[in-house]
Amino acid sequence: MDKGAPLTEALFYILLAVRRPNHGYGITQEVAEMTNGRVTLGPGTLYGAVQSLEKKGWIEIYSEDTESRKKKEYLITATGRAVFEEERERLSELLKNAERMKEDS
Amino acid sequence: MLKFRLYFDKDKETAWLNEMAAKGYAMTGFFAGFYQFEKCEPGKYTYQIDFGEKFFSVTENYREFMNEAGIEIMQSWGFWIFLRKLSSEGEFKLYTDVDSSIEHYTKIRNLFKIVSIIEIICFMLEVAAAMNGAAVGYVGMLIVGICMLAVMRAAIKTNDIIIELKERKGEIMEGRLGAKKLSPALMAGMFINVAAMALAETSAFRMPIQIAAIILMLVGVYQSRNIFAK
Repeated sequence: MDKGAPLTEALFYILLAVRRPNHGYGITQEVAEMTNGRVTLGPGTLYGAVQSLEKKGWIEIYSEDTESRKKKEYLITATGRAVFEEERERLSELLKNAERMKEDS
Repeated sequence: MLKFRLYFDKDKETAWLNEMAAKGYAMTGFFAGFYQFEKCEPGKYTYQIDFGEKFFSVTENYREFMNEAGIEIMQSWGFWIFLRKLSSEGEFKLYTDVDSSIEHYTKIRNLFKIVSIIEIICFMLEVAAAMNGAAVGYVGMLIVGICMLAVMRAAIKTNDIIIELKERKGEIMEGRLGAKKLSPALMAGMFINVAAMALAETSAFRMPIQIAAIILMLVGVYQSRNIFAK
């Protein structure tokens, strides 16, 4: 997927959820909370998305303490933040234009 | 308890595993069509089948991910991964959006496509053996032929699922990919058939190649069926 193409809801929310270090299931829970249960991430979807985001360099593994048997956590990268910002601008434009619907014909 | 079944449709297979679990039999292992079951509280577990990256194993990453989500990895077989979760922990669905579903089924379909090609080659070899006088070739033809058709059917059905998902996403409008066009398989089959006819009548290869060509053409006709739709 291009930088310019819209993000799917799943990717949008996953990027948001790893703005701070977060691990697999923590991401699922935070996204469910943020969306009031509307967006649920199945483990297959989440696993595939995380692999893909990592390959694209939009998220990276965050290892704070390699000694303790802590769960593997992910963190958004600078590239990821840039992509997210582009998406935010796109959504902002959409929302702004949506107001036009209220105009009288 | 052991049960033997040959499934080519993972959704039907998943439904069956969950039916068994609802009756009080939890799947604990799988080997070449043999499913191992253990008695359990009826409905205690929900099963799902995933398609992985590694052959007969799962990555550490995957194992960690699943265990974290409370999902048990029961068995890996080929690229297939048998998973289960306690039903009390809620709904168990692997793929929750259209895009990841499409990716999942595409991987499955591509596996079936590759295996189909291998089966067609094996079938041709069996035909060649039979033509050359080895009677056992006819038995081989029958067995390989059945497997070949089963796998090809699985590839086609999986592709139908992908098309439906893409339609839902809005990628394809009203009907199949490219709607009314001639399938490349049909044209390839016709071409191969003509090429086979250039071979000498007595060549051992002519018959198997023609049979393969006919199979390809039949697949092509099925794929192009929308040409006849209104």
